[in-house]
Order: sequence, then C-alpha cells, then structure tokens
Amino acid sequence: MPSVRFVPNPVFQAQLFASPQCRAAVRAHAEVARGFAQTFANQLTPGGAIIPRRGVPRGRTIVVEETELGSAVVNTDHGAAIVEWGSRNSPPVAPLRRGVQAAGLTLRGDEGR
Amino acid sequence: MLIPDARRAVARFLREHVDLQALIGERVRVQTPSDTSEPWVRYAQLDARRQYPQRTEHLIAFLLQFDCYAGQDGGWPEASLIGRTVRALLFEELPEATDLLDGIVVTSVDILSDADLPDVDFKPSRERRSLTVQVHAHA
Repeated sequence: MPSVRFVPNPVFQAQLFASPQCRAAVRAHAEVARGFAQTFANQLTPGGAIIPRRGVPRGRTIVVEETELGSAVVNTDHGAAIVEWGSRNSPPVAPLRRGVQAAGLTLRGDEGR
Repeated sequence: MLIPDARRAVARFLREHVDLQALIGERVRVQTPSDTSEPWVRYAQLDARRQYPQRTEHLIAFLLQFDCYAGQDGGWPEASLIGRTVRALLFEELPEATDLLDGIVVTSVDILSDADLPDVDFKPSRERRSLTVQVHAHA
C-alpha cells in the first residue's frame, strides 16, 4: 500500500506570512483598523492630531506602514504617546488599541507575537 | 440588560487589597490626585466588547488601563513594584474574588501590555508603569 511520509516544514508559518497574498490580507485588515482608529482620534480633535506632523493631511493622521514583520497601524501625531496612553492632565484616548478591537481583531500580549 | 460596572468593581478590589494598600494606601483613582508627591494608581476603561458570537450582553471583555505612578522620590523601583503588584493581583486573585466584586464573575484576565511610560507632563517626567488589561466578566 503506497504511503506518504509527512515532513513538517519548520519555516512554514514564516513563509506563509511572507507570501504576497497573505501580506495583502493582513494589510486589508490593518486598513480597517486604521479607519476605526482615525475615527477615535478625530473625536479628540477634528484634525485627528494634537501636534500634527507637517505634510500629513488633516483627518489622515493614522496610517498603515509596511514593515518586515507585516503591516503596522501608526499614529503620526507628535503627541501620539499622550493621546494613546494619557498623562497627568489627559485620560487615554487609545485610538490604536480601540481601533484594533473595533475592527474585530484581537489585542494579544507577548504570546501573540 | 445593563452590563456590570467592572471598572468600578475592579478598582475597588485593588483599593481595598492589603498588598497594594501597603504601597499606596487607598490611592487608586480615576483621576490624578491633587497631591502627586505620593505614589498612586489611576485607572480608565478603554472599551467593553461583547464576546462573539453571543447575541446577548452577557460575557463582556473590559479593556482597562492602570497607570502605576511613583511618588516624587520613588523613581522606577517604586513604579515597578506598584505595577508588578497590580499585575499579580489582577491576574492571580481577581478571578477568584467574586465575593468582593458585587456579584460580578471574572472568568479570565489577560495582561496585554506592561510598559514603562514616563509621564512627560510632569517636570521632571514622572516614572509610570502602564498596564493594559483585558478582564472577561459577566454579572
């Protein structure tokens, strides 16, 4: 009876995530998260940033950037740390964390990396 | 049907815990205290999402942030100790503390982020350990 020996590919996951199709799918999800994050940022100020970066259009202050590890949703606001995490005078708005959740994605700790 | 006020219940759990009282007294607040010379913990609810695929508002994932501030002279060791204490209490004891949570049942706690984020609104900046925590709970 013929048989096939299964040999696991230890780099399968890395190869899969590096494929153009997978990267496109990840980027599509990142764009959804970006949209929600921008909505939350716009609730703080109409332009979406407390310290806008020069050259960034109003209301488009949150962008998707491609990295070696995949797509990253980035807040270009110079004050992004305060907007996301808050400070003594400001509660956290957390547009990035809330945007990820609103997109139906899951925030994960270290085990998710 | 109202979802439980987990933010308030979890904050009270921390405020009344002897391990944290030994470090900061009862200074677990939703706003920055007027006296910032002593350490404190500030909390905020970022989100509360119904767990898919439920169609009723039963099991809710509360996304909470806890900012653990050092006092004026405490520095990073103090912020770190407070942050690690809060983290341990939430992860290890909160799910078992139904009697202390006004009947709210916590099924699990996830520590999503635990970061040193100095607060630059202070001059000089104040040491702060910031925890992002997801508390899964139902009434």
